[in-house]
Amino acid sequence: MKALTRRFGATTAVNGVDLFVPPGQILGYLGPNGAGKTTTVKMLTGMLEPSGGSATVAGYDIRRQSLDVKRNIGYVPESGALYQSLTPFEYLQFVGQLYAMDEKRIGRRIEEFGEFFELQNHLQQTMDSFSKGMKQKVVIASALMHNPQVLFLDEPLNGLDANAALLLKKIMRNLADEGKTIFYCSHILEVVESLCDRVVIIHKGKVAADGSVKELKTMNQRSSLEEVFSRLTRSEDLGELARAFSRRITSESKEEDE
Amino acid sequence: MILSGPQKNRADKKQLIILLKNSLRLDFRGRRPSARSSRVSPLVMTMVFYGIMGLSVSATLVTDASPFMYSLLLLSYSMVMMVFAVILEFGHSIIHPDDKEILGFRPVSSRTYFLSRLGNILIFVAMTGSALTLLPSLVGLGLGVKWMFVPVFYGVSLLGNLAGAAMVVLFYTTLLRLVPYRRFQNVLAGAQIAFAFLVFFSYQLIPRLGREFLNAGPEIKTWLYVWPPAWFSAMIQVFMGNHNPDYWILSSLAVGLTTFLFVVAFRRISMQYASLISSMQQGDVSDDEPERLKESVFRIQEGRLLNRFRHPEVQAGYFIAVRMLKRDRSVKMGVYPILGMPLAFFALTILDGGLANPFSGGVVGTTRIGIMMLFFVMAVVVMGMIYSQEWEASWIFHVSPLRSPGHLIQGVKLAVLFRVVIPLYILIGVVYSTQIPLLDAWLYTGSLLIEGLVVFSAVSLAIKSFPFSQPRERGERTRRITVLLLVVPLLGMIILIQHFVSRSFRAWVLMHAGLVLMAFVIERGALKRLNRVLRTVDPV
Repeated sequence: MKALTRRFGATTAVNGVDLFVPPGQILGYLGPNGAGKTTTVKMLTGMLEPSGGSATVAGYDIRRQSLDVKRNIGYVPESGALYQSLTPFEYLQFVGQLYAMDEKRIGRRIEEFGEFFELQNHLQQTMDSFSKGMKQKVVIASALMHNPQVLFLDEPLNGLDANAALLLKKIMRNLADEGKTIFYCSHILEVVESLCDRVVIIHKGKVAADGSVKELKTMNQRSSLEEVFSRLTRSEDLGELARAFSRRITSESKEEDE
Repeated sequence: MILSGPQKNRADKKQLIILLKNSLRLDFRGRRPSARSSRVSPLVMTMVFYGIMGLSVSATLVTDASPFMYSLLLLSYSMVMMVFAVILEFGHSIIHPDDKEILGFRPVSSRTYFLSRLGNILIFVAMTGSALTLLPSLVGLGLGVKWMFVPVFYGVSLLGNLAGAAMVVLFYTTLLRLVPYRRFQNVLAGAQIAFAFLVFFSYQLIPRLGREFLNAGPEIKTWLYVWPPAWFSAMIQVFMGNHNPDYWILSSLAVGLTTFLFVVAFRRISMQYASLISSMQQGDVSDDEPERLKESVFRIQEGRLLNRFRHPEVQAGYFIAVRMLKRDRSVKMGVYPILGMPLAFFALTILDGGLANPFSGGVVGTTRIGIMMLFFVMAVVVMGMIYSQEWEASWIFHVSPLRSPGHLIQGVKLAVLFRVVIPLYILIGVVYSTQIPLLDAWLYTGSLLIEGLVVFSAVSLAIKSFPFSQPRERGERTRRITVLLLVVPLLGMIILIQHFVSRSFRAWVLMHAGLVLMAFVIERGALKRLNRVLRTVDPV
């Protein structure tokens, strides 16, 4: 990414972000709500046109070669939305068709995913009765169907049980070891700390910090990523803020009781 | 959860007002996922169209009808339209299983919640019903009645419309107690087709009514006693000082119905609302072993046929459209009621004796139903395929490497063609075959199909979104259908052209060859446009 920018009217959501993520790296892309994370991902996945700057994904320019970009990426959106009227088999078949995959390859992949995510007994049931975790497994499978070079994962652990979450984290590590690039957005800092090779913290559309977890802790003289994040994105003392807020709530309740 | 214990009987006024305000805000604001979407709320558009319809129907009647018949026909029309609109737009609102997710854990009593739902529907009916009856109440002065007719007609019509909507609510809640939720949706889809049939049938029936009927009084038929609009029309007569005993009896039925609905029935339902929602949820959740879906032989053959298409987008569009047509509740509700329309025209043509051989001069009636079928079924069904309750899942289209996104729409159109339109044409062909020589029947059916293909191609020019990527807004379905109702008279010109062309076989062949060419050219142009539009459309 070179000076990647996106404006919405007078608001600049992403403001001149420069970033290079090499193959085989898991990048944790963090930021407070409204910092510009999703906008960045939408631009990199070809969903949104940048207002300025440039970027290449898997070697392809996001403006001029957006189709090639899309062919080489997998995306797990935070919403996890999918067509619940379809069965997992039908949904994955549909996604495979959108990626122009061969029908036999689609069928093989679906079987593999079904087995891996323990969905084999549910492949022919419509997803409207599925739990959040089961749907999330299908969304993850749909992102991996076509063996993409780059993965964009936005809160991918949403709804997954502990075993599935652990499994997914291991998959991400293995995929990265095989040379795939993983762009990981999350608010669960413990996971980011344990999984990501590198962390970028974005604040008000600009990169506020960039480095390994260890480097960030040393640079900011903090013992956890959570504290580093808080220091870079919030000027007030959060502990004091929480105490004052709690006092206000309890005192108001007491006044009402009296 | 929504309180179902001893507190369930209490309605909290403050909460009720807040809930009502919220639902109205949502109705009027609507959701505009795309910058290309219309700036005008579909609800406002619906009201404008209703105003035009009310004016046109009342203008047709005012010169010939008696005051009673004028009220009866307009009330019949407005009540049927209201019932139809409530069924179309409020299928989810009357009782919605998701209510439990949103408000189930709030301290809201069953009665408060039900009343807010009912209030929302009744306000919608009062607004749209006013749009439909306000102008007819003024036009009614042309009947030579006193000025009092204006407020009386307007007020009683409003009451009739509200009672009609309340009957639908009662129908829904009763049905839900008798039928499991999953089957309930299918029953509703059937009810929608039936109501669509009724609406379009009556719309076309009014101009056919004779002068004698229009001048009649309440003594004409005993069926008036089972037709609620007649009860409210009689009430108008009583208020206007006409004390005919028939009018009194009919108005007392109107009073009885209103009292029953608003005092007795809803009192009971409001207390059971919480348990009704629970039963819906259980219906959804308890199906731990849903039906396993198998690949049918037909589907496998269909898949093979599709593999012949060069573009994977066509296959994907076809694939998802077929499944959504079968399973997505909002797609089904948006598509199938439209089928009531061609069926109504078909029935009218049979009534008119219009199933004559177009190749031997008897064209007008037959042509008319053909045109209606082509126009309504093809255009409206395809246009409705961009909406879905699962619109949020459309992100997949924005991240997929679609070389030609317009082909997705072509896939959807193919699905509509094979699964909805062609079966209807086969039906027409079969019915014609019983009336006219076999060859003529199928030749004519084929010609109707060709004309339909032109419309089918042109409809792509109106599409601006990916399939199933837009949420439905209240009033959207009614607006689409109402616009088409207004367009019906314009089709007369096409009927006339076909009438002349059918006289010469050479002219007929030339015209249809031209139409095929036209459909091809339009399709190519539309595809280019779709590719341009869909590549730049913002994700929802």
